[in-house]
Amino acid sequence: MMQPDDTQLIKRILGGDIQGYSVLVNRHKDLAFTIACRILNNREDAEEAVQDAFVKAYRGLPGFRQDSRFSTWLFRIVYNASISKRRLQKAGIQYVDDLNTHPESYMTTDQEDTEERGLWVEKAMQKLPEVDRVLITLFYINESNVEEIHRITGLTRSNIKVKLFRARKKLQELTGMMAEKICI
Amino acid sequence: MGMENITEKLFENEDDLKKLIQKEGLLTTSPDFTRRVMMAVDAYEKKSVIAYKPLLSRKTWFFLITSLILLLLCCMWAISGGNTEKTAYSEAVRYLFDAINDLNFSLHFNAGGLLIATIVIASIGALLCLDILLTHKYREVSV
Repeated sequence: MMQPDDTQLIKRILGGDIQGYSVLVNRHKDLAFTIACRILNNREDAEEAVQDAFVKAYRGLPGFRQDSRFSTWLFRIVYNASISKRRLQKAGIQYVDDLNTHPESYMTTDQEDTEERGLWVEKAMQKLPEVDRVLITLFYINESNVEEIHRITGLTRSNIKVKLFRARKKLQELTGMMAEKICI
Repeated sequence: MGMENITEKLFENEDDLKKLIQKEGLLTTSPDFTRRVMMAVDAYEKKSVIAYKPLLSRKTWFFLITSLILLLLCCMWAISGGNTEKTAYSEAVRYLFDAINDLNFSLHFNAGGLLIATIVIASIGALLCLDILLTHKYREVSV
């Protein structure tokens, strides 16, 4: 059976089918969580930010004009919530950078080879600035174009292009390093 | 070598990088994440069901408005000099104002005092109506 798309689900939710929102949450939660983690570097904080963002998005659904994709709109809320939280942390609240200290806790499967690759991706990501990590996540995982990234992050298009170029270059270099290590 | 060629060379393995990041770069939430979000959404929905509860019943409203109108009419009648013909009704009104005057030592039973009393009563009435209107508009009662 075909799953309803986001627009159909939003119509259903606005019509009173609250449970329809769980489908939207399941559909977008991982990428939203990844974006938040890339900024906050902390699983608990990221989950909290994403949960707040989902509730905020639900409250704002009647005002969602659908001139962009739901995911773009949601990720913008997630991005802003995470940036705000990050600012609070930087203002003096102590936090544990658990992505740096325990990257293995973010493995997606238990298989050893995957584990190694997953660990490497985490390590490589940590070598990038926070915003660049988000750009890479959106560019590669969500396959967002520059315009969409601009809508989500609010960065200028030229800035996005420059940052993406540098981040991709850096990741390419790190990929090469990893390939060499694996060969040896 | 042009810029495009440099970029091409630089990103010639980009497909592999993209596949790798797509496969390994997506982090997953805890298993009960959706349930927690839906609980928060349900809580919001319950909170946002608005039931307006009137502060005053219809009877009280009727009594209040009638009293106000009567008081205003009495004030106007007294300001205009009143009826020289003494009736039980006019005596009762005069007795009422005397009682008010007894309570308020600074006000004497004259036109100026009654004008102030009228303005005060009308202002209180207006404020009460405004209060009821605003309360009706903004007060939320969770059910």
